[in-house]
Amino acid sequence: MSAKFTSRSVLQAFKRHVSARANTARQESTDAAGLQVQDQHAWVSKLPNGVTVASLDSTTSPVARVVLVANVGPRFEESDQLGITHCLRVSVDQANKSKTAFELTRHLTQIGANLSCTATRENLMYSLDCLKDNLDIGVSCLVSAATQQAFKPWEIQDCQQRIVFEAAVVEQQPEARLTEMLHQVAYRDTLGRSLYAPSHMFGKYSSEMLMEYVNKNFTAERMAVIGLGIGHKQLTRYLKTMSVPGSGSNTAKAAKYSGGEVRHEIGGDTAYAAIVTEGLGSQNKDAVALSVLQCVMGCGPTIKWSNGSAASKIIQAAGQATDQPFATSCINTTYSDSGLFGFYAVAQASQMGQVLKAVLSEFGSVTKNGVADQDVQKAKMQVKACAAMMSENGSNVIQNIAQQLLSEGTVQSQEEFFRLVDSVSKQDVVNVAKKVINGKPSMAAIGNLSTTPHLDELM
Amino acid sequence: MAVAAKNVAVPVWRMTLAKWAYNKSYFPSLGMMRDDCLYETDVVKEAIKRLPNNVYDARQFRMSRAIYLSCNKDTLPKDEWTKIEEDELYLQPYIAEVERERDIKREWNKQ
Repeated sequence: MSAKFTSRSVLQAFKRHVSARANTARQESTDAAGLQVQDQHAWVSKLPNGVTVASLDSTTSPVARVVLVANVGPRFEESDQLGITHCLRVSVDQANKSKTAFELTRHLTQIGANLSCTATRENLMYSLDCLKDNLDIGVSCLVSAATQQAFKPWEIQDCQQRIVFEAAVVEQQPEARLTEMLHQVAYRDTLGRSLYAPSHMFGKYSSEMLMEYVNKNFTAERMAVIGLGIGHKQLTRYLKTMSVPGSGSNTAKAAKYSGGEVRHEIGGDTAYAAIVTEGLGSQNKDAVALSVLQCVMGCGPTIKWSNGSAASKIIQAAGQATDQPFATSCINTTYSDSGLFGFYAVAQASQMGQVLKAVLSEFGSVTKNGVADQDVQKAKMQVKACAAMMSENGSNVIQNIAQQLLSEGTVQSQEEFFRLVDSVSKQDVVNVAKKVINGKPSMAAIGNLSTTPHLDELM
Repeated sequence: MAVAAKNVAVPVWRMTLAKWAYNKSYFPSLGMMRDDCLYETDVVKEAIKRLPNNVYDARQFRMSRAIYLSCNKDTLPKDEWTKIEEDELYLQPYIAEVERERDIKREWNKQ
C-alpha cells in the first residue's frame, strides 16, 4: 500500500489528448447494449448517522472500490488555516484512534489494497481499492483513516516534510502554478485557495488545529460513501459502526468570482498564460452546453503527436499567428456553484502576444458569428466519447459519482448524460457562448513574460 | 504503581507504607518526580520524544536543578520537596502507547 498524495483537479473533465475515433451512432448503440458495467443506476440511501451511501454493483470485476468523500476542500479554509487540507491529505496513513500507522499499513498490505487521499478544491476523497473478499478489513481501515483521525503531535511533525516536498514539486511545474494563480485571481478566497500549503505555514500545523478543522467540517451531511462493485446492503453493513467526527451544520460560503490579473516572471524560454471568464456551476442547466462549447473551441489534438489544427479551432487560429511550437486548449472547470471557462496557452516567449491575440479573437468570433452546425455535432460526439472513455476506469467512475452526490445529491447515469448532450442545440451553444465569454476576464501568466501583453492590452 | 492505578482500591496500610517509602527516598529532596528517575531504555527514550513541549521543558528543568543540587551535595528546603500528592506519572501513558505499538509490531512480524 502506498498512500498516494495525488491532487488533481478531477472536475477538469476533458483531457487534452483524446483520441476520438469516428464513432458512428450505430456502433455506439451496440456498444451500449454489450457494455453492462457502468450503465446501471446507483443505489443511494442514508445511514442512521446521516451520511449518504451510494453503491453501484458491477459483477464483472473482482475489484471493489470504496470512496469516502467529504465536502472539505481548500475552499473551506479560513485565512489562518491555509493549506490545512494539504496537511490532512498527507496524514492519511498516520495513526488513528483504532489503529496505529503500522497496523493500518500492514492490514492494507496484507489484503493487497490501496488507500489514497485525493483533494480537489471542494472535496477530499479517501479511496480504497481492494478485492471483494477483503472488504471487511478494507472498509474498516478506510473508515478509521477518514473519520477517526488521531493527529498525534509527533506524527504531524513527521508529515511536515511531505508537505514541503510536494510544495517543492509543484514549484517546479509552471502549469500547476498557473492553475493555482488563475484560481486565486479569479476567486480570491473560497475557490481561490490553493491546493498546496504556502511556505509560511510549513511546520505550523498542530494537532489541535487539525482536530478542530475536522470536528468543524466533517459533518454527516457533507460526507458520503460510495461503493463500486459492492452491493448496497453489504456496504451499509460494513458502515454500521461508522461515526462522524463533526456535528452541526455549516453552510459553505458562496464562491464569488472577482476577476483580475496576476503575472509571475520566472524567465526561461516559454511563457504560460491562461485567460478565463466565469463559467457555470455543475448544477446550472446550461453546463452541458458549455461543455459542448469547450469541444467546439478545441481541447487539444485528437490524434496523438499531431499539431491538432484540424480538430481544434483555437489551435488553428494560433497556428496561423506563429510557426513556432505552442499548445493551447480550452479550459472548462466546473465546481458546484461556479466555474471557469476560457483557455490556456503555452508558447515561446517571443510569440506569446500573437498567440494570445489570435486565440482571443477566435473566442470573440464565436460570440459574433456563432458556430457551424457540423462543429456542434462534432463537439457533441467528442463530449460523449470523452465521458465514455473516462468511465472505462473504475476510479474515475467512483470519483465522478462522489462529486455528483455531494454537489447535487443525486447521481446521473451515463445514458442520462448522453441524452442531455444530444439535446443541446446550436442555439443553446451560441447563447451560452454569449453569456459566458462576455463576462469579466481573469488572467494568469507565468514564465518569460517579455512579450506577454497585460489584460487591458488584450481586451 | 498502586497510587497511579485509578480503579484499584488500595488498603490504607499500603498507602501509609508507600508514603513513608516515598518520603524516605532521595529524589523528592532534589525536587524530582518518579518519572524523571526512570532508566532510559529504548521504550522510555521514544516516550520522552513524544512529550509535549511544556512537559518536556519542565522535566529538563527538574533534572538540571537536581544535578546542580547533587553536585553541591545539597538538597532543596524541606517545604519544596516533591510531595506524593503532587507527583504526576506524566510519562506512563506515553510508555504504555510505545509498548503497545511494539507489541503490535512483534505480533505482526511473527507471522
